[in-house]
Amino acid sequence: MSAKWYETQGPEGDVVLSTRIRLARNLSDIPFGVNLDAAGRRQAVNRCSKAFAQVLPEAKITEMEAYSATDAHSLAEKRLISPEFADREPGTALVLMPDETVSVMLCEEDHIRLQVMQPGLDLENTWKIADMIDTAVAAKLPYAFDEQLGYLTQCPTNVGLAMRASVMLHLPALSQNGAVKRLTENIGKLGMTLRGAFGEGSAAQASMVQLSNQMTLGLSESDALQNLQTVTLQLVEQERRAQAEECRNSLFTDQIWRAYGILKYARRLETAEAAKLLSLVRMGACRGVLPVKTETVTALLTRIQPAVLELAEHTHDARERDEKRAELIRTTI
Amino acid sequence: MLCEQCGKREATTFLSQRINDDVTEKHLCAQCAAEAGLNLIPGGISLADLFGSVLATGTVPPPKSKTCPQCGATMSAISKVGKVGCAECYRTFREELLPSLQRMHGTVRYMGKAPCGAPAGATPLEAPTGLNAPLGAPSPASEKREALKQAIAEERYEDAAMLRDEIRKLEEGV
Repeated sequence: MSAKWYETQGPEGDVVLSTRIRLARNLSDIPFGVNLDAAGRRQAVNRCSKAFAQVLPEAKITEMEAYSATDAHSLAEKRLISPEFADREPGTALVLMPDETVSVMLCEEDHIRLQVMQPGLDLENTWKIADMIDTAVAAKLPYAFDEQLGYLTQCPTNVGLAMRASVMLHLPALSQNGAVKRLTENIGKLGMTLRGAFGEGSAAQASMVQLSNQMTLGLSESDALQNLQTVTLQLVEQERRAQAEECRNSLFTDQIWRAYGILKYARRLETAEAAKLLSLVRMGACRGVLPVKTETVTALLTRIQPAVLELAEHTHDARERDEKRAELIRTTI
Repeated sequence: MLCEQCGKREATTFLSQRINDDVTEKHLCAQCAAEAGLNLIPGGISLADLFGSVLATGTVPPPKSKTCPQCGATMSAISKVGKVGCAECYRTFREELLPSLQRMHGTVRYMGKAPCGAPAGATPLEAPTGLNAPLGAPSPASEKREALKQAIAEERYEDAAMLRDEIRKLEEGV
């Protein structure tokens, strides 16, 4: 099996795990999702599928109802679809490229939610791919677009660029010293948002945060991406400095080694505990404290998620899953 | 401005609540917003719920009979759910929606790409002639626009994206 994007390391990969760009698009001649029933959604999906099949001939197009609940949840855990889309509403469908860098949710909130992901900090390339696919599809479908307002979306907050660009950051040191909390409260002034990634429970534990652009009117895509790039690079620098500072403290390196010790020998691990320990181990790997590769730990953060693990290991209940999770980590690091 | 709840931290969240016809508005910091049950972080917030009320405040109520010819939505239905019914609604209720959009986004000026791949507002036929372009000769931007049209027609989207960026630079005088 070839490596997926989340198993490789990209630019600034010690702090930035991945870059994602989502574009929301709608058809101009039919009602938005809120006014569509299952049959209406199917019709919209059929039209969009035809366009995507031409633009992305290698992609697999699947009705969401055809996925099992576990399949759908594992897609959400890999961040290929939104958690809401994993509910498998009748009439919705997913377009997925084999390397999982491009996924398109058809009839989620908007008719089309195109998503491109790349490892590390790579806004330029991610945008290039998203832009190319978007322009190609626009030539085949009547997009809802207005000269003054831009792309028209179901939720008025997305109107305009209808683009959400985000970077997933691992900020263990800035979380530890309280900077993330202060940033979360103030980043809104820069037209951005910062929120926990990897689901509610394990997010805070793993010190993973997602930084996204918020503004969609009054600026171009490249301006929005440039702003995001600038703030991200500043955070990367600050995190690195804070990590170097923390690692001079033996109390902190002791925590890192203890986390490694537990992961090396534990026989049962829940997701939240594993995420918390892997976060420390990842930082130890980045700083050269531990004999582990950073990308190995990064990949584990996705592989230990409940549904992803259930699919890979064919487990049946939570206890068995916790055992398999401990075994997977033990044998990988 | 400072949070109206604690009076200490900077307000980052604007909450407009409408209960029957009583509208209360509050500026809160992230922490007080979370305590008020607006779980902004880390789980995010239901924007539709919030903007339903934003859409409902400060707008001129449209005549009750006005409905969208494409989806049948009324402005009150849109305000209630915070979701717009279809693309045509944006045209039908433009007058009512624009003030809310202005409040939400701070501006209603779109500056991104158009579906054809060109920068917004730049239609291939309305190419402005550059100051230094000799009379009668096509400007560099208009030549590029032609090339862009050609590239899209031939499905060379990578070239199209590059051309679009070049046109943007020429127009901005960079």
